[in-house]
Amino acid sequence: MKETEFRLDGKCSQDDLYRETAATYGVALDRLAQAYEADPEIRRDLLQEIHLALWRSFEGFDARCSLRTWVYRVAHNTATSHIVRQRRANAQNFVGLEEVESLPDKNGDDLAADQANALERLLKLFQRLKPLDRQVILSYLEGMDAASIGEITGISPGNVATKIHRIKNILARRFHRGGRDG
Amino acid sequence: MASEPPENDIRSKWQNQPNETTRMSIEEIRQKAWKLQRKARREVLVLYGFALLFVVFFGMSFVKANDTLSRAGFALMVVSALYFPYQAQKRLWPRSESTESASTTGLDFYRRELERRRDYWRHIWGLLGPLFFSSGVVLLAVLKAMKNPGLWLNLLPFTLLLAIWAASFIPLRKRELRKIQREIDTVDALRS
Repeated sequence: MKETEFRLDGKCSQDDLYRETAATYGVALDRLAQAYEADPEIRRDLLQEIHLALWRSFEGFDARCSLRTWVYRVAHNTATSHIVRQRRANAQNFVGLEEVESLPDKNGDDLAADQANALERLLKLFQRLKPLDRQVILSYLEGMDAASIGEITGISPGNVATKIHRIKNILARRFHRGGRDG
Repeated sequence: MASEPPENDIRSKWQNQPNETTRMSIEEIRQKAWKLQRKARREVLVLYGFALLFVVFFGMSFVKANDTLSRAGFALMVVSALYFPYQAQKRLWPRSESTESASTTGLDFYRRELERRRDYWRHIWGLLGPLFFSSGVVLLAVLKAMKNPGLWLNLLPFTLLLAIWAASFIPLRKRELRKIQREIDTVDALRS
């Protein structure tokens, strides 16, 4: 991921900041929404909600953090609100990375044949994860380092490192055997 | 590809996946913001509209009632009918949270959502209480006014159902509260 450290110089308007964000992070935001909502129709609404939240937020952008941190915080928080609301409606329970790591992978034997579906399975995994674990794994996949992940999520560096270690284990176990074969 | 570490392989797959791009112009965003605000206000106004119907109905019953118990019951029903939309308004009325959302880390934001859920379960009797209490008073007044005491038996199935609901709701509430508290503790542990 391109490391954009765009900072406000006090001259950008709310609309300018939004345009800059849509151009730089639009595609990443599409991926983020995918990780939070499986249904394409509801996902479109969620994405619009995220864009709207971002535009509104730029009214008070104070450059105390980088634009990237600001954008991801707003996007993750809006999406977290969405899944908490959905969970209330569906009485769905989420699992943590620790539980996922200890679960046997049902698809393990079919990985070589299934590699093409890796993204699909990755999305299914995201949609089962607790909000904070989802934020960490998504930020990690977007190429962020532990410090940036900590800044966005508020999780201490030690805990971010532990979570990244778990994520690597999960990814290696569940998503790579097929890649190595192919 | 074969020599790449697994995480880089899946990272590049993730970042290079084909995606359905959603773009919104500034004008579309303004329109959406305006529509959302209007929708939330409309929902609250509809609730107040229904509340007004209840207020008129129970208000008229209050005027017509002869005994103190009935009057107290109907007066409480009027208050309950107004209390519910007031609570809904607090939740639904458009607020400006986006800037706050940007200065809040994912952890703090999620904790606040959990606290909100915990408070909802904690104070659920406070929300339902006025309605139950006023209905009880009205029911008592109706029963008192009944000439034939045998008619009391007609209310038995309803009372039984209410008792079963209450018996299952109390442990459910406790379980839900415990679950949320556990999650809050887990979130807090991630801070240090």
